[in-house]
Amino acid sequence: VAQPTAIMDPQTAPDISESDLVRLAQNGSRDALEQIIMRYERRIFALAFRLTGNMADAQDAAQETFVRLHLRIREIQAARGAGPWLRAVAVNACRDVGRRRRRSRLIPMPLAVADVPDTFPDPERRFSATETEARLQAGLATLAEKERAALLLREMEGLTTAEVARALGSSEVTVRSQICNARLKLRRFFGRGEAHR
Amino acid sequence: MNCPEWEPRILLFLEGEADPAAAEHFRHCPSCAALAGNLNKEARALQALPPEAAAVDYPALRTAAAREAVRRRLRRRVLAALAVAAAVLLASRLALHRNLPEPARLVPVEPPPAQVTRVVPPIAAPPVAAPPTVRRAKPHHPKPEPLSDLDRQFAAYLRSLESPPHADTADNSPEVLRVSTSNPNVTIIWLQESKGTPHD
Repeated sequence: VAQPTAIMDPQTAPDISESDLVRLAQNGSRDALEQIIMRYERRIFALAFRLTGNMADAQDAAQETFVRLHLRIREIQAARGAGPWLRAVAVNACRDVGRRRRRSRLIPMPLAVADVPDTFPDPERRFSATETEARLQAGLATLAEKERAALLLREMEGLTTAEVARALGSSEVTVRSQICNARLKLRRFFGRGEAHR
Repeated sequence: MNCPEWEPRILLFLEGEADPAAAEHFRHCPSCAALAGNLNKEARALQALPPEAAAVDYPALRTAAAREAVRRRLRRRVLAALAVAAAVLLASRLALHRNLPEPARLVPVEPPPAQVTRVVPPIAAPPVAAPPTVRRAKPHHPKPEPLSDLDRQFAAYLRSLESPPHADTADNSPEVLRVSTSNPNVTIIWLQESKGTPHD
């Protein structure tokens, strides 16, 4: 693998590979680090939002993930890219934020629906999307923490069972079982909702 | 869903676990096929970003993360410097400690025997002053002073103790004590002169 050089400017070379970005960041390039964060920030926030279930905790967890990226960039295997490392750290950060929240007994801030930009101009589609999202969050809330993390890493991030197991520090058998349980619970939750309609 | 008993196995099969019976069932069961379709639908819903993801101020998030990283790095360095300073201080104290003179060595002492004779040191007698040298005076017989009544009474009492009551009338003739021995030719005669009164 060719060693990236300092002349590669991440800002001016958007098609630079992630491995090279990681190497540049490990060599001290702040721009490369910024590029990595920009590539992953939405996905990491979305994962944190689905894991924690609220906006404030998700933002805290996402910020904590990127703080750890700043501090521990050298731990990342450049060849694998930053994604697997960031996802594993995000899951741990969500867990830490949840623990801190439980210790402090703070009530999560209610979602500021008014702040959410209108990404669906069609009112019918917008209502449907909002409803689907609310039901999805309610369904995820019925899952155990580890089941939720395993399912989200698989479905949202498209990780294989082995990758999920590595990210969560579990065995593949455990992860497979957790994913199946999560899917079954979610299906039953949605099945009850469909039956009521 | 009409196959609750098959659901867990079908899910594991869809997850990639080798289960020929589950595969055969899945091929012929419309209910389980519908289950797979619903799972795909939910997976797609999960893959979509939540609308809230568009509401986040990402530049602010990046700036906050960078600032927090700098703060933690600084704190880590300060803590490391403090740890080094503490180690140096401790090491210097230890070095000073080593240079001190060795403390007196303790010699093991055997325990005393079971029976201990306690020796009491003799009490030193107080120093006695040398007796004053007195010139031997020539014996002289001073003229007795006239007796007081009390002295006379005491002398009378002593006489009453020394001599039988009839002695008041006896003269000053010597007392004779004859001791007969087993030999009829030998007789011990002990003559004792009368001492007289204490005032004689």
